[in-house]
Formats: sequence, C-alpha cells, structure tokens
Amino acid sequence: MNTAISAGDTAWVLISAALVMLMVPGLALFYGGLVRQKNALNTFMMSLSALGIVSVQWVLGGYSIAFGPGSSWLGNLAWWGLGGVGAAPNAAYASTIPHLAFAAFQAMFAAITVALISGAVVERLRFSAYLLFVLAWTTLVYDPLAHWVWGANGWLHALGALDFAGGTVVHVSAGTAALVAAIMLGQRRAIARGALVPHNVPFTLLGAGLLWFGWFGFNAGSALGASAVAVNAFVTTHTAAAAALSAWLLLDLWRNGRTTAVGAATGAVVGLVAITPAAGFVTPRAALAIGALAAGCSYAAMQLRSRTRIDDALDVFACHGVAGIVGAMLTGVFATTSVNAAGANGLLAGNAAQLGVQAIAVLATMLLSGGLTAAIIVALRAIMAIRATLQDELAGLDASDHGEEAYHAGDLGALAGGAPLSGVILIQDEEELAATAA
Amino acid sequence: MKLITALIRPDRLREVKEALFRVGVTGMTLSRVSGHGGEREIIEHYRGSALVVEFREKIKIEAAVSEPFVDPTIRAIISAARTGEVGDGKIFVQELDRVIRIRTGECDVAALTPVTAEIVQARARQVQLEEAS
Repeated sequence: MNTAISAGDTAWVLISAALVMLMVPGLALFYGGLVRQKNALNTFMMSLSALGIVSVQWVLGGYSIAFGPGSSWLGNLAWWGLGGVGAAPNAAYASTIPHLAFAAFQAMFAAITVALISGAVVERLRFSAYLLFVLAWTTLVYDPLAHWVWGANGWLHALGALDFAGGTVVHVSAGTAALVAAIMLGQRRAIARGALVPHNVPFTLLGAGLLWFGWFGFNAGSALGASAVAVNAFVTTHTAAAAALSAWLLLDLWRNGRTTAVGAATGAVVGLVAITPAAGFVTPRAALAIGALAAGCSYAAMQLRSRTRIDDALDVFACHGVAGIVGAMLTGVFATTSVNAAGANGLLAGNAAQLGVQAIAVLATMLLSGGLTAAIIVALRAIMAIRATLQDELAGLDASDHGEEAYHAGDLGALAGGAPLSGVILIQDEEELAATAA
Repeated sequence: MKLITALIRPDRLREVKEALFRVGVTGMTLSRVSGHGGEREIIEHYRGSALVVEFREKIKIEAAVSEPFVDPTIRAIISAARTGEVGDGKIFVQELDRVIRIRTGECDVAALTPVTAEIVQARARQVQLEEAS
C-alpha cells in the first residue's frame, strides 16, 4: 500500500476535525435552547465540559484503548500520551495522512458522543456527577466500542459490520445510554405540573444549523481523504438531512396542522444521525429514503415517549437511538460497492446477509452501552448523590451548580448596583433620619 | 385627578398612543404584563408535548390626568383599542390623592400639566383640523 502523505487528504482531515469540534458548541446551542432558562448554562456546560475532559482522556489513554494494538475486544495502552503516534501514517487506518491527524479527528468524535447523552439527564443531574460520568462512560463504553467497530483488529470490524462515520459507535451507543440514564435518574420533579417549554427556540435552530455544518466533517471527513467517497458522503449527508427536515414538516402539518421550528431542527438532526453509518456506502437516492424513513420512526418514537413516564428530557433516544438504529439497518439494505469498493453490498444489491451483520452490530452496541451505563450510574450512586436536591431543581442548576445565571438583562438588581459581597449595608440612625426628613 | 390604567392588546399600542397624543395626553407609563381574560385558549406544540398558553401578553398603560382630561382619555383608548373581539382589555379609573413632580416640587394639577403641554395640544388640534378638512 502506498504510504506517502497526501497534502490534500491531510488538509481535509484537519478541517474535518475542526468541523466536528464545532458540533460541540452546536450541540450546546441545540440542547441549551430546549431547556428552561434557569438551566441554560448548566446544559451548555454539559457539552463544553465534555470537550475538555474527553480530550484530556483521549491523549492520556483513550486513543490507545480505542485504536491501539491489543485484542479484538480492547486496545492496550501502548500509545498512551499519544506516544508513537506521529507524522508517519498508520496504514491500518489511513495511509495518506499522519497518524496524529487521525487521532485528532477521532478525538472530536469521542468528545461529542458522551455530550449527546447529556440531553436525557438535563435539569436534574448534579454537575459533579456528570463530570465523573463523562470520564467513566468514555473510558468504559466509547473507547471499547470504537475498538470493536473501527479498531484494526476489532471483532465487529472483522465481522464486516458497516459503520461509515459512527452510527453505532456514536449514535446508537449514546441513544441507548441516554434511555438507561433517563430511566435510572427518574423524572424531573416539575414535569407533573405540565409541559416544560424550551426557553430559546432560535438557539435550537442555530445549533441544528451548526450541527448540520459540522456533520460534513463528521461524515465526509470519515473518508479520511479528499476522495470520491468523501464527495459521496458529503452529498448523502446533505440529502438525508434535507429529506428528514422536509418529512418532519409534513408530519407536523399532518398531526397538528402547523409546522414547528423545533420540529424542523429536530428533523434535520434525525436525518444526519440516520445517514451517519451509511454516508460513504449508499447513493444519494438511498439517502433520500434513509432520511425520510428515519424522520417517520423518530417522530413516532417521540410521540410515544411523551406518553410514558420516561423523562428522556430532550428525546436523545428518539433522535439518536432510533434514527441510529434505522440508519444502521438501512445501511444493510442500501449499501453498494459501486459507491465504495471498500464497503459491501446490502440487501438491494443481493447481499441479505449484511442485514444480519448490521443487526448484530446494533445489538452488541446496545448491550454494551446499556449495561455499562447502568453499572456506571449504580457505582456513582454508591459514592455520591447524583440528583440535584428538590430546592436546587426548582431554582435551577445554573445557580446551584455554577453560581451563575445565563441572563441578567432586565434584572433590576443590576441597575441598583448590586448588594455588597460583605453583606454590610449602612443604615441611617434615628438622628440622620430626622435630618433627612427636615 | 385620576389614575387611568388601561390593559390593551400589544398590537393596538401604536393606535392607542396616537389617539392619546391627539387629545393632549402625553404622560404615560407602559409595561408588558401577562394576564388572564376570557379569550380562547392558545395551544403550542413542542415535539411530543402540547402546552396550553394560560396567560396572554398585554400592555399596561398608566396615565395620571386632571379632571378635564379623564373622559377624553377614556374615549381615546376605547376608540383605538377596540376590535370587538374578546380580549380587547379593560380600563380602570382610580382617584389620586397627591401628585408631586420630583424635579420642581410642583403639586397636583401643576405637576400633571406637561412642560410641553401647549406644543403637544397645538399639534393635536392641528391634526384634528387636518382630519376634519
């Protein structure tokens, strides 16, 4: 295999890594707009803090566990601190870019995946518990799963499971973890009193736009080169998002007589999720079908979820879990080697067996993620209180966990100059009062 | 002297303001308020959940006026704020004990008469004349 470094490929992968990084603040906006005002900062911080913690973990050992040499189940720590990961390409992953560029690109995936889960537990999970969860989940669930599916000797990789850019590793795993975490954490206390309404829908729309933009790096970047496969992934990504958004508008119109903005943003993200495993293996025509079908399934899942007592607050399972599963299975239907010779044929190209392989990958992902997420939460509960107290939940986690507020505009206290931190307020004695009155 | 408090639809504020200026009432305080009247419910949808909007947005106008201005003020507000549909709002009229202008210490009617009263009323008369002709 040719292992000469390509400037074009390297440039595209670096830009793609930066695009995926932008999805983190995009997700923060998407989620942050959907919560109530008093939890806005807390929700933003759940996404941004994951970028910090996971990136440190990735350098220290995460990358090595996920992509390092080892067994078919787990990488070893040979590449801890990114030692031995340098300018020379690693032909098993990408033969035309420095190995370090691949590691940087993959770091962003690890960071956003755990952040996706936060949408299920917002407005009630204590932030300190969340930070520990981020570290534990990335190490115990994401890294091994990435090794299974993408590692040079991973067992799902060897089985022939198709996952172009992380349908199972990122979305099915995060969606399943979100469902388990939401059930174990219980409902927000205020939910009994009525619907909890988004505080800033334009944030959510802007966030969806940034996610869509970043997703070009996520999917087309996963070709790991400026190639025809990257172009195909770019087009299928855009097409599926557009199809899902359009389908969602129609579903809203049919069910409620109106198209909603939150629905349009949700639809776009659902389409992007569903095309993720398929982007480099299917045609644009298939992308239309994948986007539209995923929109229908996620829409139905959301309607059903809201009738249960499961408080997956921002519908992470309906978005990422359901659309991830639909996308992974439809990859087994629509994949064709005419798009990508390194891929495989699916059902429509005469290879029904691929559907079985895809189902195994989905089930293995759900078992690993669901089981270990539950174990992590049980362990966290044993060492600390993971739920906010009733008072903190009612006042909002911005104040209780961060000592900040998202919005001070319109606060008369600011006009009044604020109270002195020392708490000392000068009170006029009777003599002074009398002098003022006279 | 009376304190006139009017609750009106936000989309009628412009018309009400112009009507008040025409009768020479320029002193007013506005606030955004929410309230419950007898209107039809509004239902909003966010993904799987529906929400009944319980309180409607209204604008509250407060104007303190001297006796000769009380009835013209009320007529002006009604003529500009009325659509005939449920939800047009209310006007409350209350007695005022004292009024003090902070800048000068003037009291009662003197404090209520705008500094620019003559200009405002001349302009309002002219508008009325133009409309009549």
